[in-house]
Amino acid sequence: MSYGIMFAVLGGVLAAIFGGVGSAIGVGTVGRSAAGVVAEDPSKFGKVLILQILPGTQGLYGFLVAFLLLTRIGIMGGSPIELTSAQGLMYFAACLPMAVGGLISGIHQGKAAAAGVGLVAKKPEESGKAIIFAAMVETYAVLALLISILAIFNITSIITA
Amino acid sequence: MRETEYAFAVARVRANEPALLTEDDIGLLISAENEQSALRILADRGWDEPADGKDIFDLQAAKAWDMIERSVPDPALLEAMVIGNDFFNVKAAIKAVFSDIDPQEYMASPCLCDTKTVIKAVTENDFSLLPDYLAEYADTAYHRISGGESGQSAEMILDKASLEKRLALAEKSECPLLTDIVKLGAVLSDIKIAKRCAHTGKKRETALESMCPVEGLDIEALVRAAYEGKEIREIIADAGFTEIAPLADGDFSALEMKCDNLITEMIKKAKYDAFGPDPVVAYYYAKLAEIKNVRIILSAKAAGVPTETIKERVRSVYV
Repeated sequence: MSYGIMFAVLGGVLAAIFGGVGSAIGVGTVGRSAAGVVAEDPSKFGKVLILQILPGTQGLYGFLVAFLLLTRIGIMGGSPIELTSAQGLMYFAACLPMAVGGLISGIHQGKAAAAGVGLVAKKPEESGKAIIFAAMVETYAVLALLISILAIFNITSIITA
Repeated sequence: MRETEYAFAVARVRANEPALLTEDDIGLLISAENEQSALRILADRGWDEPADGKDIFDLQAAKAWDMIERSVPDPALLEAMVIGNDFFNVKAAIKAVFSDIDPQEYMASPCLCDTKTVIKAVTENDFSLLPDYLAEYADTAYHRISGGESGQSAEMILDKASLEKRLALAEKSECPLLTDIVKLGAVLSDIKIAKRCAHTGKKRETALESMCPVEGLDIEALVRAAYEGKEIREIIADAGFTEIAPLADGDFSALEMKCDNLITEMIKKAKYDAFGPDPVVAYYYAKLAEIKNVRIILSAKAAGVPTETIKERVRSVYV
């Protein structure tokens, strides 16, 4: 087996790991804030729960990128395709936007959402705005996901052409 | 400690902030017909009458402290906020014991050392019962009074130790807001000591020994100026406390009020922080300021003080 397949798998694994870590930190941060608000006012559980869910998407995106990649290179089917080191590195690079973007956006979305929890605590009627502020960070996770998916699909097209 | 460690505490503080009295509430209290009307307004704003004969102010302070104590992850921050009350309790217990009155009703809370232990230590003259940070100073203060020295000299020992411990703990807690608040309190205390000692003709050395060193403040120059009857405002301004400097040569009540209002201005900056210890410290000091305001208003109402005079005495509010 060549190094190519190893680089490709490593890329997928990093996308899943860092996306998951970003989400875990983000969701954990919001969870602390949300618990603080619910300790004082349990009726706000629904509103703060939405904010806590928001930073969880990076982990899903990382999983999606890893799943797509593993399917494309035949790992999921049990018959991996032959890849040169250069092709493997191309797949590796394709996963980096999701890995790095997922980690950083997950952490910062968590902070934005936790600040939003504070806003909900003081002014529950402004919960929509709190969600929008946190959701803005999502843009960059989505961009990272798109570029990783586009790159994986097009690298496959180049290799199979 | 990472600032996100405070996320739980900050969220609880934010959830409690809407219950703080606003400027409008204070205005309503001031314009209340009498003390009973003011108490009814307070009851409407969540100031419940204590059921167990506890003081209404103690109950409010205890509720705020209970919330903070259960939420803050750094014990150093908690200690820095209340350690002053331990020294106050020792002072009150010593005074009460020598005056042959019950010290319990003079005890302040929240505190780190159980008040019963403080009273027992002072009553039995056994200061080994107290924690290390209190024992030495309590022992010295007690024996100064029993040795015939004035109660004021014992007070000075405990006040200085209190400020030094608060400053050290505030710095350890890595909360610049708390450090600034404690420093301001130390400067105010130093000004009072220098002027009082000069006024009562005490030795300069006594004044210097009783003052708490504050970074940037030249306490020797302060004492010199106070004893020579010169203005001290420049010394205070040079130390970086420009906001209170213009009032440093005036009467203490105006200076104290300025310091209280300055603390409120300082804590207002933490209103928009989502993490870190500052919002918690801000809430605690906001609650203390609120209690002080209500105390001023209720006492004034009970004494029939005119509304305009009450307005002049009331401190600015956080929300």
